[in-house]
Amino acid sequence: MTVDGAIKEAMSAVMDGEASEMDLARVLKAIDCDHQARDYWQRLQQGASVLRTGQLPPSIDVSSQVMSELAKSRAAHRSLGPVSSFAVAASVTLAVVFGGQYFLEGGAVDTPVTQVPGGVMPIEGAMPVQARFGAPPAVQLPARQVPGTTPQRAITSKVYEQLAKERFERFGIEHAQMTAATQPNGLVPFARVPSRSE
Amino acid sequence: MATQINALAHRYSAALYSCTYAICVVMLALFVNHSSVAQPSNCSVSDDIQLQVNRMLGAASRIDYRGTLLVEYGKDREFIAVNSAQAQGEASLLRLNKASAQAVETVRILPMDPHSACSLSPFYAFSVDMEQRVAGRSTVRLAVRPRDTLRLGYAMDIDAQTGVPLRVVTVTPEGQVLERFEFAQFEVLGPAQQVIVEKSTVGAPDFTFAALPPGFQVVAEGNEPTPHRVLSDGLASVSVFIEHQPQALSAGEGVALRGSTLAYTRGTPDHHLITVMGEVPITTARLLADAVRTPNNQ
Repeated sequence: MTVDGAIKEAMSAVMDGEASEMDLARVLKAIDCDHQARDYWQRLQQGASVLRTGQLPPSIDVSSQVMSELAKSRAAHRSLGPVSSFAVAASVTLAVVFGGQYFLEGGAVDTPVTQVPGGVMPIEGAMPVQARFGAPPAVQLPARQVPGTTPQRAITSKVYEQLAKERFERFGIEHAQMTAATQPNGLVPFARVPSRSE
Repeated sequence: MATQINALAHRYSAALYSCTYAICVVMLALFVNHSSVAQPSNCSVSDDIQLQVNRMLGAASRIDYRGTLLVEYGKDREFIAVNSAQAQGEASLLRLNKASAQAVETVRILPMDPHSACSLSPFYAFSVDMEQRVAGRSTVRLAVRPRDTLRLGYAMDIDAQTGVPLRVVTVTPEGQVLERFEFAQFEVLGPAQQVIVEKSTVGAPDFTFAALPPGFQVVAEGNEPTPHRVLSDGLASVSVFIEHQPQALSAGEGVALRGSTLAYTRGTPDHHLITVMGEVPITTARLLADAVRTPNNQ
């Protein structure tokens, strides 16, 4: 079971301060009735907290704090009316165009597991990736549903895992050189990738 | 009666067709509007935040500095001595705790492509928060939150004097920390030497994209070491490389991850190997791999 996409979009709109009355009502109801929606909202709040403070919060009281925040947002958005609704509609439409869906599963933020945010793409067998924080760079993707026996698919998966790792090493410097002019600090891309001598 | 039903059905199907067509036109318009980093005519970013964001963008290429940079991926830490005051826009890096890498790496840094808070605002939400001290210097906290799941978020502590980000924490849209860069020591040496950028003319790679994620546009391309295109939304960057793969290898995909940088490799049925490398979520990497069109797969 996952949280409904429309609820996620509504929550995202609330976080961005662009929610309509309908979004707020939908979010309030979901948080009240659905524990997965409540967990999802909590993770979004934690994300915002990290961005604000750079620190991971120990826990967030969803039931009271969220209701209070939403109530404040509701009051603020009454005056905006259809303008804010259109912003949400546009964002939903774009999400549909690109098939990007929020896909949050499992682990609390303070666990050592890094979860790569995954949209569910129309790729057979493609699923979000879970990698251990600080682990070696290779991460195993679930095998795609391609023709062949299970052992064959497992071998293919291993081969591609190795290919990705090799390309990380091989293209790292090229990627850094080409993207240095697109970064706030052009030195950082080079610090991220392994040097040639490693 | 049957004629009336037929006429009604025909009218409804025509209306449905018109409605579907209209929706498609609206979606296409939205897509086109978001495919380029256009300057919005009505920028909703407040003047204070614009000031901080615009100071931060490209600040590191406007000054010469040296310092010690801490790079952290979970439990993996690395200290790097950096010095941007080299000739012709070059900078040096010395990895202090890598036994095998005592040699200084010299890299070329070009001025940042022009962007502004307003051009980034359709894809990122900004807020300015409390001040902290980093490397003994006063900073302003700039939170950069993605508006969708196609890019990462950043918490930046930018130097109050120069605008250079002294600490950058990169997080997923759900707030999970992927990496941290922080200057342990930072010394301003003076204004940077102007670098004259000569655009080299290289052959365009023989692959295209059927569509691009909102906000991303191609900023560079080439054929060495293999055909590639580089895309950016103004903050996040991603490179797409194409190789021919051995025919014996069946279609599949794999990913390698370090900090916020991932390499996503996919083998296609027409025997190409697509590698998407960048500081983006895997959703974006997969979208781009999906969008690649080779001469055999238009």
